[in-house]
Amino acid sequence: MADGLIKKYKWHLLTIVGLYAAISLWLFFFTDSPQDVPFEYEVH
Amino acid sequence: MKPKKIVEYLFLMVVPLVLFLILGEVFLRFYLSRHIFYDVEMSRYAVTLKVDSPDPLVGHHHKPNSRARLMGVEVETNSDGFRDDVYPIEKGPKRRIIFLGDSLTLGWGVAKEETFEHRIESALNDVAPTEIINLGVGNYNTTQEVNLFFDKGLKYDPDQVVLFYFINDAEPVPQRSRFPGLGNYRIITFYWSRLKALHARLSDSVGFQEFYSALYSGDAPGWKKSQAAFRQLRDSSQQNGFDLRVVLLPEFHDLVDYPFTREHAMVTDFLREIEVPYLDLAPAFHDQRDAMSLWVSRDDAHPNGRAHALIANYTLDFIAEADDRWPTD
Repeated sequence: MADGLIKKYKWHLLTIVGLYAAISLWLFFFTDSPQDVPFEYEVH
Repeated sequence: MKPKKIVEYLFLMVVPLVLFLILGEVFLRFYLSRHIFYDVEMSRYAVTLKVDSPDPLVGHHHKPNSRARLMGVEVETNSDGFRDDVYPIEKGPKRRIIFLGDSLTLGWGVAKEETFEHRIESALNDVAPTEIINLGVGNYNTTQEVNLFFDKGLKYDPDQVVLFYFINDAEPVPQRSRFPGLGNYRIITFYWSRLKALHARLSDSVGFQEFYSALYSGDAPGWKKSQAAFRQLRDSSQQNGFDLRVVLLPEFHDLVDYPFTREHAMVTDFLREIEVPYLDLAPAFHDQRDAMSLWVSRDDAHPNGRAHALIANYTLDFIAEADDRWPTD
């Protein structure tokens, strides 16, 4: 069943993954700046 | 809606997301093997070197005998969890000093040989045998620094204790992450970090200046707890006979028009009131016009090796003046 869905929606899947990647790249470049927020840590 | 359609919609929602997370994780691990990303390194620090402390006033401390490569440098802890050599509990002929502080004292992003702790120790040793034990731990405030000293430092019977104070040491004790383990995934850390930055950019949320200044306003609890911790440490110095000093480290964004003069004055006024000698280093850095040249990386304003060298130079005499073996001229 999964094989069938992948074949049927191959381009849909690739388009959505590409969209996620594009959003990530935009986020990366749009927020790329010298540190301008307080130091913050995930303690553990 | 037919069950078949529901399955197809779910398929189209879940599969691309999982695929993207896996591909993103692989890509980021490859990318970050060649680049440094501050938030990822801090998350890795939390996962690899920090552990819960049984003392709630300490919160967390370093795992003993652990090592990790963070910000491109090796960080190794001794059997007490300090980023330092192993020292016998019993004091030998050397004058013994303990440094307390946060990530700046730890030497975040700086090789151990380049930290101000190592440089000051070397300089003092050139004159008279001295050992400095570095109790610096990332993300600590004054309460944690002082209580770590009571838990693990006092047994070393120091001749002198120097607390290196940073503007955010008046923050409350940090809480354990609600999502432990997320720091293991680079893609999660990436999104957490970048969405936080996006929120800061698009909203009216306060920047680091307002955030740090607010720590000292009105009845801010963190600063009150810092004061209580300073008093405890001062009392301990009187009871146990060690010299206590405080060094105020500058915040490294704007050293020319220093934005935290008022906050530093509040700290130094308080230290004068409780009769603890202090040295404020912010004025010493006043001529550093290119502040970013002192950062460990573009997205991390911790002091780099050159800044550590300056801190060591500016601090040496203040620490040594308590040692009667140090030449007075």
